Amino acid sequence: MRFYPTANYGNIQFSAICHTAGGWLWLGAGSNIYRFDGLNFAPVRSPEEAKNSRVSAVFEYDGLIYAGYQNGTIATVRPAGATIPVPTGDMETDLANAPSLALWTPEEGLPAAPVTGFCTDGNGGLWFSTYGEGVYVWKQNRLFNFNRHDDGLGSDDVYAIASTPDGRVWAATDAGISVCAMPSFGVKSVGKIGIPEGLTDELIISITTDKSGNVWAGADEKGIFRVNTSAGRVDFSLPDWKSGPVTNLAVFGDQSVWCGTERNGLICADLKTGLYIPAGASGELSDNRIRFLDKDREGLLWGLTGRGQLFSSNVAYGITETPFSGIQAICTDKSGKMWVGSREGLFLKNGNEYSQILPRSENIVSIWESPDNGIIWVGTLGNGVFLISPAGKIIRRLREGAELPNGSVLSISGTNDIVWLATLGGVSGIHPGTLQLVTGPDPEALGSYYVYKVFADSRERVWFGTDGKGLVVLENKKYRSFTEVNGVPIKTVYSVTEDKSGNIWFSTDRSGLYCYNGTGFRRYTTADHLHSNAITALSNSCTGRIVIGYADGFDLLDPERGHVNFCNEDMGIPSAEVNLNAAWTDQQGNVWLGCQNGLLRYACPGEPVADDPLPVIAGVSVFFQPVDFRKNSVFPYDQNFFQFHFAGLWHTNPEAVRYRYRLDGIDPDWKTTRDNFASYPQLPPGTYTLRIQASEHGNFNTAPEVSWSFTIEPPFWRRWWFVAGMLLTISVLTGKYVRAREARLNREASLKREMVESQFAALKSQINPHFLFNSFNTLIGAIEENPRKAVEYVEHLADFYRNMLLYRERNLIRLEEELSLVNSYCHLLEMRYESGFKLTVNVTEQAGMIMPLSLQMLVENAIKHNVVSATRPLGVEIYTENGYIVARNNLQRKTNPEPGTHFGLQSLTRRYQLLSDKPVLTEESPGYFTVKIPLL
Amino acid sequence: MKVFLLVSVLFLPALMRSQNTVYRCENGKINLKSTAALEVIEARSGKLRGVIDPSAQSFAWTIEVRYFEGFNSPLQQEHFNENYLESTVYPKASFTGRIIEQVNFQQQGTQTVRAKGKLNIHGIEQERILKCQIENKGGKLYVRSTFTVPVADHNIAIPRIVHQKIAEEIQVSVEAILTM
Repeated sequence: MRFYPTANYGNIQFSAICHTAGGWLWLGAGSNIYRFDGLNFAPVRSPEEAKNSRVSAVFEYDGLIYAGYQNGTIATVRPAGATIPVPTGDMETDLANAPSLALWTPEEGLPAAPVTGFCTDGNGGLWFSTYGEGVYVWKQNRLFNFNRHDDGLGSDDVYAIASTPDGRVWAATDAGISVCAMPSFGVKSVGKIGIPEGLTDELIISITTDKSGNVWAGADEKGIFRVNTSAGRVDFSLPDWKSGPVTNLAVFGDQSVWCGTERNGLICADLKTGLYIPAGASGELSDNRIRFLDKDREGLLWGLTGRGQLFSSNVAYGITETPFSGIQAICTDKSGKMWVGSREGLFLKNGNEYSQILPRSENIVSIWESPDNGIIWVGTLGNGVFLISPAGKIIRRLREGAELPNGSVLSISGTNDIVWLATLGGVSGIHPGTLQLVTGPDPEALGSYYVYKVFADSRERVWFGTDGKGLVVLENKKYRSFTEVNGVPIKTVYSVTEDKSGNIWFSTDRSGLYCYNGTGFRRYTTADHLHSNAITALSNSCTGRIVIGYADGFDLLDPERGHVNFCNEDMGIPSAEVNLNAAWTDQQGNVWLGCQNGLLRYACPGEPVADDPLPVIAGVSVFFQPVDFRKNSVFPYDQNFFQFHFAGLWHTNPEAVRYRYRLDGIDPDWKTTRDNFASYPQLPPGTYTLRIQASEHGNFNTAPEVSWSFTIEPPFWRRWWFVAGMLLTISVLTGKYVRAREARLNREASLKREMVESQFAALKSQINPHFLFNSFNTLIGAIEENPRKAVEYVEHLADFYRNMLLYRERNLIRLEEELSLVNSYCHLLEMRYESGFKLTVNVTEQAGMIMPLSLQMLVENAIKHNVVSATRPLGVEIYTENGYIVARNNLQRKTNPEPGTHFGLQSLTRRYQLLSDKPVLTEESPGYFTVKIPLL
Repeated sequence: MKVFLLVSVLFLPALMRSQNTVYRCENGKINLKSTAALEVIEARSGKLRGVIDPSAQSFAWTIEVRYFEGFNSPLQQEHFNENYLESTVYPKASFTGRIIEQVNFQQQGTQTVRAKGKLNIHGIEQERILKCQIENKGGKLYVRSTFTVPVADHNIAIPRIVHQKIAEEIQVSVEAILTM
């Protein structure tokens, strides 16, 4: 029995156990649940609603772990989705980092009574029982309730539930077993198993199912009952139960039922014998109240005591001490009685008692039951053979003589027609009825006087294990010997046995084990992970596994997989010193090994039992952050520091587990380690597969494997889409640039053309003969009247022409430059028209650029198109307004307008369109003509 | 006749008791809401009738289907009554049963309880557990509940063509004040 102390975990007391398909053990303790790998507890915290309550049931359904609480709360966690940090061993740290259970929120609400158990009907229904509100089933997102008042449940206080493969759910109540079912959605049926059905105690407090689909119920007073579920009746019960309430049950195959009791610890009921065996282990328990029992994939029994202590026991193996020592021969007869031969006489086992058949003076080395008449043949060392009736009376004694060449009989075997006696003086075959010699000692044929083992197989062959001359077979009255296999000599053969498939297995004194399949041999040695090459006994078990005895333990060999488990104290199995050929397989397939001080039984599990650790990936961290590795398998290039935590779930002996791992894509070889983690910093982009194997003894050839594949993506600048996108962007940008440049060049070209045209027009207009003619006429008048004014006039004229020549090459000039040019120009006009022309300049803001000669052109236009006279003076105003320079004149059109090209204003407008967003605005309102030129 | 029998069975236990041992309500509010991809439809009625018998922890609620109003259009109401709920054939919807928890109705303040019973809509009975709040305020019982009703549960066939307009699950909310 193994205990799991929780001193490092604040002495938590467990209250519920659940074994999950993933191999983990989940435990409820306080309000939290814990994932257990055999060594460490990884917590998952309770939801807020259950902080002050206690977990009363844990269950796995549809990939979720369900925790039911005393206060009726039910909460779930998806272990595959939750990133449960690898436990550090420090409970406070682990609790702080732990994820939380999420409250389960069906629309119908949660019970207000303690949740006592869960089960599933295998048809999409999650069932749970409560102590106070009966049974609930969750089906197709709808919660249904079965209770006493509405549905006829035995009682609303349900202690436990269990389901059978037919979809029915069996509830343990104070009024017998209530059988609930939902044959179709929303349709309820409730049946009852009570006194009329053979239940002698209706107060049922525990319930479970076995592999045949039958239901086992534990009662408050009268022990345990088996309900045949197809007949709907109790078909097995144990009389005289005196151990009080049965709080829990665990059924192992069809062999034994383990009962947890309220006051008397663990009790094992042997179904074959109907015996209650107070489990030897229960003495080790700290208290005799058992609160929970469960069994796992390895065939271990798990339990919780009333004080919340967790324990497990490898119940398939048990040793019973005998009141005599040196067991050398074992045999169970047809009626199931067991005969045990020892150095201290022959005994008949009766329950846990032994009655002595042959006195202490007889050293018993072999026992055989005649299949014909049931007489037991007992071979002694030195005193011949005793023939004993099934009742235990000595019928006859064969002494050394014609039929028996020597008084020491090491082995007896035979058929209805002949009994082979292997003695230290050779082998003789006699008729079991007449006791007449059929075939005498034939040392020639056997090649040796010493035969350790004679074995009559199922195909009418007789095998002799000799000392020095290997293995000899008698088939069709011909002897054939095997003294060498594949170049390895076989000298001494100690044991011979036959497996289920008819293969012959034999062991040697120091060269290991052989299997003969009729045509060839297969040898097993320590190289195949046998514990030793010195084998003392052989037998085969009901599972097809070969039991190999040694002087210090035994191996279980699975011939199909070549997998070997060595069984000793580390596996929770009593130590065994197996005597020579002291191995026996009984009718149920249990293997019995005779040891120095007792009988060791390896019980036939009766159902598949795992014999390997189960490798699982416990967690993946990237840069120390746990990630949900079942959902994420693609990582960016900079998420490349991986740590893998794994576990080899092997509760039989968790300390013995070794790992072998390999990251395909980077590791050329396997790495073998005791550590349950592996780190890979700075993995380059690529696709990887992590492969993990776990083994309990370092033989990875047969070890199961778990793997996980993931990808680290290359950085974005090395992905095809990025490269393609970049090329596309570059080509688009280049195209745009080329087009923009073309447009700009076009614009510049047209601007240039416009400018040339406008300069040409301006020049044309300025050297317009009219202007010059008018100017000269004005000048002539002035020279005569006022020579000083004439000089001034010529100065202005020269100024105007100089500026005009100066500015016309430029695209833009400053506003003040243009204004001074206009001033000069207007001066000329004022002198010519005197009071007929008036220029008003009201420019506050002198900043800004303007096209040269534009204002001058507007003034000239005004003169050209309007009447200018002293009686009707023409006024031109120039002022700034919102970023525009405005030229406005009063409108007094000439009746015969001068023919013009209208080139000036149009050219100005077009040039401004090329230079600026703002257009040149022309307005003609009553009495005024206005042109607005944007300032640049 | 059938309907008359049903109603009398529903109310018989209540009627047999003296008037002031049960809580009653004649004008409870009930709201239906269908949230579909293309349309949200709401309907309501203030004519929900109910009794709660505190000693037996039992209850009965009923509503006349034709009293529902507030649809998006009169045509919708007509479809509701004629095509879906068939209110001439099945004039009433009801919910009868017992409360799972032991409830102290005298206790002031709000309690959350679960009502387990038979929900009958469109002549199809479904067993349901409905979570509701009961509040005793000055001797009056305020009952509130919200739950969903899958239309398929009650054999209400929605033509494929209006699937986008009518939700598969109708959200129902109930608010009622019961007095002795």
